[in-house]
Amino acid sequence: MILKKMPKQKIVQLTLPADLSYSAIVRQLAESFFEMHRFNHVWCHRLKLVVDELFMNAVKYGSSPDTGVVHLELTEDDAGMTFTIQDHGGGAQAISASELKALMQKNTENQDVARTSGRGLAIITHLWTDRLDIGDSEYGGVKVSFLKKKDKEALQPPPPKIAITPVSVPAAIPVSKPAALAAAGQRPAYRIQLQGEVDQYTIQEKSRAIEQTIAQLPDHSELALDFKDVTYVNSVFIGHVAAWFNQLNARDIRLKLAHASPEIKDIFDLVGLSQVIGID
Amino acid sequence: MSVTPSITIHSAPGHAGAKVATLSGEMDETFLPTLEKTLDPLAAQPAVKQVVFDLTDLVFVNSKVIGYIASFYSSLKQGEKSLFFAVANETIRDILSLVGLTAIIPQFDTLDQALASLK
Repeated sequence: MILKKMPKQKIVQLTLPADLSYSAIVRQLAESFFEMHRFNHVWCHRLKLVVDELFMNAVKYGSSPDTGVVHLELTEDDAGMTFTIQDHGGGAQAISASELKALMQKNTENQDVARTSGRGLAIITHLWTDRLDIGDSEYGGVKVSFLKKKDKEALQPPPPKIAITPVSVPAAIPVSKPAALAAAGQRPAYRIQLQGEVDQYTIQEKSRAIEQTIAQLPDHSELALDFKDVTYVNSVFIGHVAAWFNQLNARDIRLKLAHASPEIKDIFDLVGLSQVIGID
Repeated sequence: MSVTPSITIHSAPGHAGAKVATLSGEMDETFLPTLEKTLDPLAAQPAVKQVVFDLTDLVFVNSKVIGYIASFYSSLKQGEKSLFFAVANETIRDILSLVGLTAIIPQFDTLDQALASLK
């Protein structure tokens, strides 16, 4: 097995024995690759199935069972994700590129549901890929590749947006009159509800959204960062919280952390921030 | 991680002519001989009138397995027997539906619903 990562495009190359007992490994690799590139559950499964079908096709029709190998390549670039498989030809049931093309076309047009032999590969590649290319392989057999674009339907939804909602504002005192609130000893209170994990992949987006929100807060108010739905924060995020605390403090805005789990509290304790930021 | 495929056949209590086949794991061409060896006799048994596939733990099928299921359905139909799907997860439904099998084989959300539909 050869795994090679190229510098410009993200490429995984793999050479495997032409043996169907490797199908499970190929499926697992394909699913992990598409998952890593943010394809959603449904499309990871669909593309795994397309890859499985093409592997099976290359093993059965393009390879000698004893000495044959097949070459797989998964690529990510601006166009999307491309999977390519090549065989050496020479199988007992060998089929040329032009014969495979003709067969796929014929099977795509087969409407008899109860006679699915050969229809599966044809239908799923026709409906679940954005482009399918069949040609001659540099290894002497057939080369088949498909492209799947990273379109909205196929990708996981973006991380949830951070919402700001006023809370705990006494009904008798309108928010638009902060002076009245101050006179009553109250501060307009706001809450930022965080969700999911705050890690190296999500921190930039979440931090930017929080900073935009902080800029809109009125002076002399109160802000709660609500960690109720947060399962993990990394150290960089803690650093951001410390910076926000200083910015807010300069504007007399009180910052507190709400619903932090024991694990998250521990991290704030560890860096000493729990001494200056209230944690519920 | 690959999930080892398996198939087991059970009687359906209260339904003398029915059998429940529980399919699980990842099924591809390597499992076809086992599938054929287990299911083909059901189509040939005169006492079996209905077969329900319990797909609760089936996580993957490829076109070869789907092709066999279509062929098994045809064999049952020739003997005036019926086939039903029960509890297929989202991804299994996706492929069964894509190839058109759900248009000819009734599917149910639960095994109880499938059994209740048997006459």
